Amino acid sequence: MSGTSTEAGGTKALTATWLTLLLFSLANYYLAEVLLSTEVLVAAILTAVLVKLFLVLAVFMELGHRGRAWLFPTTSVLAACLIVLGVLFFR
Amino acid sequence: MDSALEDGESFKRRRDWSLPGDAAWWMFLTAEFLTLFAFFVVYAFMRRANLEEFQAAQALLDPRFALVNSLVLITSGYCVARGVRALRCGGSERSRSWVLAAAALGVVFIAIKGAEYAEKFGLGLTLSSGTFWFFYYFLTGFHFLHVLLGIGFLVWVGLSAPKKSNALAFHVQAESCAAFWHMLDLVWILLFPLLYLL
Repeated sequence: MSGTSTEAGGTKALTATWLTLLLFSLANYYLAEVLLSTEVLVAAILTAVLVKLFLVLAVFMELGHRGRAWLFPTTSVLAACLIVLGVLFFR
Repeated sequence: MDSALEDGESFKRRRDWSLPGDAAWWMFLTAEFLTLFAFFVVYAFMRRANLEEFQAAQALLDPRFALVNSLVLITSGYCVARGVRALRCGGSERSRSWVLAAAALGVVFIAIKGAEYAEKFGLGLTLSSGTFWFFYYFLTGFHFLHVLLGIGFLVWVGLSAPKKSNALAFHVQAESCAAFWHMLDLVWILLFPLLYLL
């Protein structure tokens, strides 16, 4: 995802990310609506949400440059907050 | 500044080392996101304290609306990302098409959300119908208004792209608008499970 790469090269990663995000959204819905509600289900939904957050931040916003690496810990903090929320309030 | 052509080497250096868009804009986005995140935490506490009320109210929501809106918004985020990439690579016409497509998907999101609101109002569910409904309307309404604003930004970027694509200032503005749109993606990715699924 370098800013100096060609448009065609970068679009493959973007398209793959887009399809993954769609897949995880569908998985979220399927897990919640079709499977029974269990703690494993909640964990699975939250995991899917975290993956989606990370993908939007890291790829859609193109933060993979070395000068922007500080944003990855920020994402991790956000992820940790969500995990805490999930464990504390949705069990 | 809009008409200033960017030197290729400094542009490349800027791309390698800086945030997309304007740094001050990122502070604004962070503040917006943290504000919403605070409400998510309050929502979680309130849900825990009023679990039965929240679960009964959530049963009245149709997750299919939210699922379709998730797919629409994620696809619009993809279009914006493609538009920014096309702009960086000199394809101003392609950029315009992608960004305007994203704006059109934003309008689809608004239409679906509007239909959902109309259905809920038809059932007599308003902001004062209970704690859950207060959070539902507040959080989704806050997001809804931001999507409207974002559509305006995207239309401006899309229409300006062919004329201003050589100006560094425009690239910064376009990236800022794209970052704003992606923030709306992030917020919706959180709202979808919080309100509709969990």
